[in-house]
Amino acid sequence: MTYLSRPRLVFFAQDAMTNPSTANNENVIHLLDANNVEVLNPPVVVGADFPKMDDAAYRAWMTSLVTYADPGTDPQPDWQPTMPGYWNYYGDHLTTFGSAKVTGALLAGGGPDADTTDPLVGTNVVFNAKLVDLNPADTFCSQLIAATFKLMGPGADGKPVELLAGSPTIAYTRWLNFMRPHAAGNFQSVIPNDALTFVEKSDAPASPALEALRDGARAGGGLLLRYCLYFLQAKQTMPQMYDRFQAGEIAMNPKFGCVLGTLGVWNGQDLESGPVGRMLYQPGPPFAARHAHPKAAAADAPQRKIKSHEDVAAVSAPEPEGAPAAAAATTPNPTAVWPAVAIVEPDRILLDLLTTFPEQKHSASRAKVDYGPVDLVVTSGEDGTENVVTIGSVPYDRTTYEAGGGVIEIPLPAGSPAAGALEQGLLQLRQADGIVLLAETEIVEVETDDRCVYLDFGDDGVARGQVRINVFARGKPITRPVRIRLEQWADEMSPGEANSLDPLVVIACAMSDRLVQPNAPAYALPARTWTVPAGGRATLDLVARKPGCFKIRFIAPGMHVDPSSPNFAFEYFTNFRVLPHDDYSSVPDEKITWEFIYDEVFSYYNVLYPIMATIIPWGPATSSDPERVAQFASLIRQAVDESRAGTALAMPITRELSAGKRALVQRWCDLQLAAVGS
Amino acid sequence: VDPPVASKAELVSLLRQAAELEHGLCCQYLYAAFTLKAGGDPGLTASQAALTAQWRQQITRVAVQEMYHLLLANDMLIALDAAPHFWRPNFPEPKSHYSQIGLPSVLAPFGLPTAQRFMCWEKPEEHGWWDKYCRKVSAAETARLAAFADAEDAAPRYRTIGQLYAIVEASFQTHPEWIDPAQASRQVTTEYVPFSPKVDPITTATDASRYVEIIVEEGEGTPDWDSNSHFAYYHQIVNQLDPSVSPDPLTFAASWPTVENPVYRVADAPPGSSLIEDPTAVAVGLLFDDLYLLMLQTLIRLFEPGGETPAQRRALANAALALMPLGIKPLGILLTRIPAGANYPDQYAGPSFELPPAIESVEGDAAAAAGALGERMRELATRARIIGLTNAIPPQLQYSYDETVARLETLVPLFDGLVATPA
Repeated sequence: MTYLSRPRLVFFAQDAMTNPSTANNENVIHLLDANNVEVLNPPVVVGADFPKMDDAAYRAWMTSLVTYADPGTDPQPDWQPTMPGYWNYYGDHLTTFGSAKVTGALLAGGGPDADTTDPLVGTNVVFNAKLVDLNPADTFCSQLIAATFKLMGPGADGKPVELLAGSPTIAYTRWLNFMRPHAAGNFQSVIPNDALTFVEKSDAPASPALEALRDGARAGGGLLLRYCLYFLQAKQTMPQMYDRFQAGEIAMNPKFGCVLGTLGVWNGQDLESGPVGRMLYQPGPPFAARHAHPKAAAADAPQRKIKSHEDVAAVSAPEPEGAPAAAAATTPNPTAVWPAVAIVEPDRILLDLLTTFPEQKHSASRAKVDYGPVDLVVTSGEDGTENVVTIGSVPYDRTTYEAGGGVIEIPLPAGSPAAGALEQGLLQLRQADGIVLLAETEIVEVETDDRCVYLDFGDDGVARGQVRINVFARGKPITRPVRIRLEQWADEMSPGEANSLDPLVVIACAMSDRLVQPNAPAYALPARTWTVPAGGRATLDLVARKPGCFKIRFIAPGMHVDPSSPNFAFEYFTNFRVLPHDDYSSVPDEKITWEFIYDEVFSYYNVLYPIMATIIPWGPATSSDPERVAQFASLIRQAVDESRAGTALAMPITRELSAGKRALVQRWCDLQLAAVGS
Repeated sequence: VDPPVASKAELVSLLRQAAELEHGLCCQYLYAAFTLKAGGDPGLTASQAALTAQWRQQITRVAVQEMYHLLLANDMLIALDAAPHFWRPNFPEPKSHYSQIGLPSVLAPFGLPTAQRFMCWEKPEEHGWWDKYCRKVSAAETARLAAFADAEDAAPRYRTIGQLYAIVEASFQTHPEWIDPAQASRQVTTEYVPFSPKVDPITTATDASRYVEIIVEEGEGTPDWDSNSHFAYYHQIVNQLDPSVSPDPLTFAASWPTVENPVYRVADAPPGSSLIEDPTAVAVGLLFDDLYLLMLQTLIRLFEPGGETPAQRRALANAALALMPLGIKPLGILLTRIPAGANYPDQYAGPSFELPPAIESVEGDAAAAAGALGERMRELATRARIIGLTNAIPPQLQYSYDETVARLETLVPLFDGLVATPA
């Protein structure tokens, strides 16, 4: 049983939704000290000398109109209107699958195409999660923290019921494909059996698919959910949002688009948050030397280094249909083909193409770029000779893509030449002219379910955490030790530059990766290399002494990485964030006033995440009304209660509250509640 | 004149009436707050949106304090070894029900008559200009709501709310022996709910008096403008709206024109109520009522523990109170934007806060009760989702509805956690 094995359901919707708050994305103006979780007041723009603002003024400024262009776009900067709070200042982070429905079922022993007659087809796929970025300004650290996943549809009596429901584990974006229009992200999580319920059999419809999932889950570890969010775009422009704010509206601007995915069985052993199989990557760095293949696609890195959300938006923005550039946008670009995963089963090969082939950039119909016929082949050979055996053609058109949930199955007749070559050979996706789009290598897969780790300082002034890593060779745990290199990279923001102050016209800020040297105070890794034993499981102990947002780059033997510029779209890595060492234990009670707690904690959220105030209004402007202060304290005390940790109810939604500040908030609340009426 | 002293049975009855009164006021205030328009709503300018936001915040704050008073009244009942009382009659209630102030209890959208009625409910016990003003308000409301406002009800033995609490206080002072200190641990104190002001167990008449005074002061307060009393808050609002006192009254349509006293069950539709039959409004309205009932059942369990430990009682309180901002409030607001159907052209529905004739408490030991409450929360979240899938939620409300359902789903783990809370 693998993560792609049957049974699996396919689901799809065109109105999936995500509603993140965006002020902390820092896409235009550097306004946040992410390391210390503080708002920069005044914001930092080279050449501008902003005045310090009170919170009300800061919030008003967040929704003011600014003109900006991305850095490095000289001599023809693309000036555009925006707001410092970006496209969704009032976002609440909710992410759903909209009106997603099951579109087909693939069962063991069934035909090659998805069965569209099973009673589960047409049932609603309900998903409800909070989208939280570990570092809001970085684009490779998104998490979906789910409250629920459900299939809802007619039961045995025809009335709608919950057919299955559960709490998925946290999903992390993988293989963010900024070559697809508006970008696309893959996610995967599992619903372990202890968090999974099925409708009683007596109330269930006569669905072979439901029974197969029920039986599969019980025999394994639960269910596995994998999906791609793509074509997501906001419905309102910046000027439209500006107008709504000016009218006094607390206006949200969520992005709506497509979700395509599958629900299958989790074997209880594989990764929860990422695929395990034979990985096919572009035939160049970081998984092969440049020009390693005679007919390799030019695997140059994209011209623009991708790091921030603005980088992604700039690269993935589609041209309008009919624009002069449209024709060029439909020209097949081999470097726009993203990784794929192959699973070899006895009678077929399953290919995970969930975000492999891009859509045409000017097409609203989601038509795929035409690469011509593409084959899956297996290659082998020594001494410069290459034996190529074609396994089958790879359909990647939109219809096939959506009908199969991004998975295709290629028959593998027993005794065929391909079947014999698969054990030793390497897989490739090739165009008709022999151009290699994707290629399997001997490089091991280094992955982790601890993709976003938060570290808090303890009493000893050190922040500790762990990252569990799993190493696979061709989809199976390694059978001999593998030594991997570890690097720590810090997220670093550079402020933009002012072109004009009134009106404010700026070159946007930019984000980059900076290598943390082992002798630096921020270095938190246990060593520069780590040997993962046979079996493929290891745990890294992190010991941090400086706050910040970091990535650990895992460099497996044989990789061809750029030493100065990681390509996190493809490379193996994880994220960790060291929250600040906020120790208020020496502050006497009498100094923990409303003004103090507001300045130290609440002001940050008031300015950056205004949606919070619509659920629990921030306290009074002054402490002159102790009743009101205490009433506010009573609500906040519950909101930050540890019992909500790890759930979609956790506050703050953004998970930036350090242990020290949480303790301070709780202490302040307790003081207010003890003082009033005592 | 010293207030009369009640018998113990009468005192319990008075406290039950006090609980109903505070509870009913809380619902009326919330209803009005829910109907207030917000920025982006039709016809509202930015400055008007700022005003409605202020009013919503003020009224909601008062409603939260009424909730606090309701919990205090129940602590007094527990102190007397009586059962907590979270039931209240459905709306509307005739003007004679709780006092001789002459004001009925109705669910009505925000506006001058509503603000006036709220102010007069909270008017100070002492005499002042408000007596004459509120007599006029009472007459106007009686004329406007003639269908039920004059309905006869058993006249209470007190004229005003202040008198009600004066009798309660006098009775406790005269018969301190009625307080059973053994019930102290059953009471819901700051240990369980982050009350403000702080609440300790009521074990003496002095304790009871202190909380009676808090209720009275927070409600009626003093006529000062800078007071934090409910009366002062409502006075501020009325002054901005009333052309008889303001030279430049605010006359814009600040609220969604909802029906008065919406009702979703035929059996609960007395004169003066608005029976809503629109399928979408009915589905959402009944969902709201059941969520509200779940919140009350969770609170009742908090007051009547069946072996729950302090940690488990805190978890009950946490779950019950989380329902307010994440369930009751958004769903209530949403209902005031759903058309009330063909019977009420150009009007919108609203939360009815309907209760059954008796609230069924959750039985069994701590684990059984937690399981039952968790199961109920799960059922309601599922039902909410089914409503979204099978009923025609107006397109402009679809996002708000889905967001509200998502919030309900986030509450499921919190209720599930009741079972897992360590003893």
